[in-house]
Amino acid sequence: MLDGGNSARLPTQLVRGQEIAASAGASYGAMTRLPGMLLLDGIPAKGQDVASLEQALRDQIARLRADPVADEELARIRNQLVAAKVYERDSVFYQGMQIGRLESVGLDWRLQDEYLERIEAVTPEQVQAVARKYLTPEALTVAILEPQPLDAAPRPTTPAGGHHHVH
Amino acid sequence: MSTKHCALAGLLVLGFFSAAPALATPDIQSWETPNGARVLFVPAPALPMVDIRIALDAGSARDGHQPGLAAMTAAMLTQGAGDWDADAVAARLDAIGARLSASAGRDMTSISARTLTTEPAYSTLVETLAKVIAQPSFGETDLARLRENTLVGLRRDQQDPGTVGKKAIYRLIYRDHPYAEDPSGTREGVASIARKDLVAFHQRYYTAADAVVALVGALDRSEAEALARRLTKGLAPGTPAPPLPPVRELSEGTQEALAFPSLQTHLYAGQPGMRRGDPDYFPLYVGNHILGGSGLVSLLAEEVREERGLSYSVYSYFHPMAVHGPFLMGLQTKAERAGEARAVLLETLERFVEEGPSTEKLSAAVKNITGGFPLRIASNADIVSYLAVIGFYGLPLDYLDRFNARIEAVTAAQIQDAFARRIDPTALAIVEVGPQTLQAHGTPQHQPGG
Repeated sequence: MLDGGNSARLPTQLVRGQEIAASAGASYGAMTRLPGMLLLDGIPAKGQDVASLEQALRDQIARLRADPVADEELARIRNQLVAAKVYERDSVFYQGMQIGRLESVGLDWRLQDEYLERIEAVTPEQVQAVARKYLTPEALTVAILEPQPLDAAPRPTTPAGGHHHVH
Repeated sequence: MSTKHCALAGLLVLGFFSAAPALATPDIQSWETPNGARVLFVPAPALPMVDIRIALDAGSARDGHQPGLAAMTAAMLTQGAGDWDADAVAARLDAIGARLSASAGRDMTSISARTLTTEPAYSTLVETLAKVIAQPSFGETDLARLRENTLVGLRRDQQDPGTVGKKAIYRLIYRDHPYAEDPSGTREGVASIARKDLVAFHQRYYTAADAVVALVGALDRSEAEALARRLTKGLAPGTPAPPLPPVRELSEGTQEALAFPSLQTHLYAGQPGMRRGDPDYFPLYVGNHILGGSGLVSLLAEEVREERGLSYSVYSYFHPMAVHGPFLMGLQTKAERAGEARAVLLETLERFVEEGPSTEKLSAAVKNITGGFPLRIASNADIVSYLAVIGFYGLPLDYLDRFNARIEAVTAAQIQDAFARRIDPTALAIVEVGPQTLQAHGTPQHQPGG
């Protein structure tokens, strides 16, 4: 919903619509042995500050928790995934990696054959339910990287400038 | 094919050819569209999809006094075309799972697309792509947004010593040549781009005369012909862009030190190298593989990394372009050992130019390159990239068929001869980016500019 193509929510609403981000994205690793991380990232557009961008990203999460996604959004994503499954087969390397990755995290490599039908079965209510379960304020960490002055003095390796906070 | 190999066998280092496995290289078909675009096509019926690459002689070397113009024109293509705005273009493509992107390098603008060949995906993609190429809207609002976002990107580039160094080495090697500027442009250039500039650039350089259409996918010949015709129909035949000016050799060594508050020093050294289709391409390519093109086992890696532990990564490469693209060497190292790393880098180059490769190194390089070649044409995505390059630079259609044989035909003497003629270690451009850069060498330093 957030980052699947140029018509997903982040490019449509944050980069184009509100013009709050020069770029914005969301990603996560579906196949990790232990719980992984869902990462939203962005760079503020000119005239926007980090706080507004952070709020806009938080609003996107809040919306996923509050409202079920529209059926047409789900349909679009299904079409993208069906196409992506065909595209994947262009790369022998990637196919090998998929099989190896499933096995290496303790899953059955045959799961890849069920991937499409399992994705197609996902409902708006399920998306909302996992957003409510996992995308909680208690689980959120925010990191901010601020540009450093280019005054040619090497910086210490421990963070000194800028503020960084953990929620 | 076998007679061709036999004719070359006399030049071979004996033993390799008989060991080489038979290689299935793609059968390239080529023709022209009615309005003069060149098409290269490889049928790939195994998967219900098609990869499309359109290469235009519209790279940043055509930017003129507005560095960043070609890149901005390319980026604006998907921001609206015909009656569709940016959201509509994105929605049309995402609804069918198609992919479309456009970007500009120094020589060419590339428009890449991938779609299923099933309906409604195929027709939707073709209709969208044809319009995006021929009738981009270049809307003022979208331009304003993209211009600001590009400026944000250029400012971010200045925070990265590697990017700062890479831009600086091109400027130092190419000076007043159009290759000097990075395709992403300069702040002044990007800020100056108006809608009329995009329209004029598109009108001049997005022409059928200079377009190459590369197609790989589940199409038969007549379907591919119809597709290429459809995609280029909206382009004016136009006239070819003028040839780029020749690149002047550096007459002496030149260096630039850019102070940067990093812990590592980034070092780049280079000079004008070779063009696509260069008569010395194969000896220089194989020679560079030995010198610095083969990762951890290259001569540079042995000397800089294995022997002295100065750097995790050190490399060299030729980037062949329409006119002489650069020969570049690079490494990153601890700032206080930058002088030593630089000396080792330059000595290794000098020795290689002087002595050429050993037969063992040559034999290992040939095996590595020819053995790895099948992997480089293993996917439709790989092949469509090669087709665009072959078409754009006018390389022979049997380029891929003959590639391994031509690698195998390279001798140590040819490499030594080519490097001696083409690489002058006394006339290198050198850029160091890092703390207290080059002070030890007595070079004045200044802040990186935009």
